[in-house]
Amino acid sequence: MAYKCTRCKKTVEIDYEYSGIRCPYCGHRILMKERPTTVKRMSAV
Amino acid sequence: MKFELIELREDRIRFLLSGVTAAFANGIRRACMSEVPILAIDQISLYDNTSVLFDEQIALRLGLVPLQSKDLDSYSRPEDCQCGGEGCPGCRVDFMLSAEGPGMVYSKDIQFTDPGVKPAFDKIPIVILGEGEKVVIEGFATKRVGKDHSKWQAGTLCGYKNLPKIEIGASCDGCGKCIEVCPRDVLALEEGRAKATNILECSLCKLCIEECEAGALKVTPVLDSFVISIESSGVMPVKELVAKAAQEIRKRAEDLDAKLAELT
Repeated sequence: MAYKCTRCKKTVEIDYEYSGIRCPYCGHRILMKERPTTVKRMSAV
Repeated sequence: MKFELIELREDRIRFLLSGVTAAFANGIRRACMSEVPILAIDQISLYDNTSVLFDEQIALRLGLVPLQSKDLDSYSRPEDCQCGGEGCPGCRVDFMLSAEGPGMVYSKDIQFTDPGVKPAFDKIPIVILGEGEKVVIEGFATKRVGKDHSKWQAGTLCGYKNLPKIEIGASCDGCGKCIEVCPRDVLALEEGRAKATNILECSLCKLCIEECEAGALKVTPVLDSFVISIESSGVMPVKELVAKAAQEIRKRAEDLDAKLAELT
């Protein structure tokens, strides 16, 4: 799963088992989940 | 049946219907609320949403925008459409909403492919966008009835009450207590006696009866007369709304008639 680091703005791949939630480039622990590029369809209710 | 108009505004009508049953008055009320088909945004496709609101929240807000149409009859309901409900220009109106912050996105920013379709009110806020925030939404509106979802409800505040009848007996001494206690100013003092001058406003609360020591007042509902008030959501003039509701009732009655004729 790709996330975006809020400090260095790089897209990072997270290995949950090994590193936990941490940016491998800068060590920051706040990561954002990016919006998927697919079109989202839904009912307007 | 006797019809008497009390008040008519663009979005609101109040009339007196006499010589009908409560079932009929209720039928009109219910038809106004749930049987008159109108357009509302049905499905949306979100291409981008970086605003503070969730996608679902924006979808809900878009769905609830009332839509006016110059030629509503040219659209058919999806289940009655020649396309069989798959979606075609006969049962759908496409729209596009694209906005970038900073600023508020209003209902007037929704661009429909049919120039005859537009939001009933221009200034309905959809979402507020900050610097660099963006929404790009596409979708379509369909014509359905209020029974499916309240966003297709053409009549909003619809209600009726029995016409009140206030009788003032000979024992009235003109003390004025009933006039004082009445919350709706129905009664007034005339020639030393109480008189019902504003009877349509009476809600049959009977406070005046409790207050009258002489026991001169009698307030009763007229069982076959109804004060009906209908308010439109703005999608069509209220006169048209009531007429369409009556047509829907007629259509059902005719359907039943045809079905019964088949039996014999």
